[in-house]
Amino acid sequence: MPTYSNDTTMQISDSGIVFDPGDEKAVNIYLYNPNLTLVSHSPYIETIIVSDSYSANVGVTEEYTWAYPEVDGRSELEISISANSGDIKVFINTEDAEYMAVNSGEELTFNAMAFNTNKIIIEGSSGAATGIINIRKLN
Amino acid sequence: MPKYLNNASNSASVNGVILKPGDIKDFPYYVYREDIVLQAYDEDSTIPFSLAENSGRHTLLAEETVELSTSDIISTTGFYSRYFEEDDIEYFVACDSGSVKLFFNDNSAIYMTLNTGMKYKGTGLSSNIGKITVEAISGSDVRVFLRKII
Repeated sequence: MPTYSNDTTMQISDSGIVFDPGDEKAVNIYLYNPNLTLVSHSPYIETIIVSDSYSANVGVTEEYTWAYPEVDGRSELEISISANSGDIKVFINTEDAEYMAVNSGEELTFNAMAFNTNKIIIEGSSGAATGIINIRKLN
Repeated sequence: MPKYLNNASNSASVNGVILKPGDIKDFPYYVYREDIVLQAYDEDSTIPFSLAENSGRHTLLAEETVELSTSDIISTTGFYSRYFEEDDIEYFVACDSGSVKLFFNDNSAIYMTLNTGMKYKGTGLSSNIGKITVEAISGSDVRVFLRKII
């Protein structure tokens, strides 16, 4: 979370956060108030949830999930999965009959809401599948 | 539904649902709160699902169809129901071999044609799209999905 200080002589309230004169506070959002001074970007607001190279032979799965405090119930995620070699199946939340199919050389990108999506499962469906998965928090 | 344990020493209110310390309760959505811990799914669990039935790969003979219905995935009971306001579904069709028609809401008179190597992806409102159908013009390999976004 970024850290801001109030270097003025007046109390400042922004987004429900009160800074008395001289206060320095770590907050969980960026503030754009000309009367506040950005002291540091730290502690950082993390936006990258997952960045990984996966490898999944036929029938073998790799799972990716997320939890508090990485996301909250209103977070939106951008999920990008490339299949560099081999074809894959992409399941959401659980491995069942329904899936998104990605062929070798393709990339699948979609947005998902954290309240209805908690896990991505990649399963190799032909050849030795390898690729990259990136999951980024949009908000 | 996903079940959550209140692992804190105090009661917690999660979207109006009170969990006493040690309580385990079902939720119709995933919860992200400190000390509110997702439990392993059991036989009573209904896992939130986003993909309509028949999402996946299909090999079709000429005139065979694959149908995907939004009624599989859209519900009015969710806490966060926001549909009718913004695109809430996404659909995808890839024709890996052969050629297929893609049409909406059982209206086979108006369709898009996808030939080998073509893909079509779009989003829309579940109030406008109740069903998508992929019909093979010739023997075809297709990939399809219909997904709930919100």
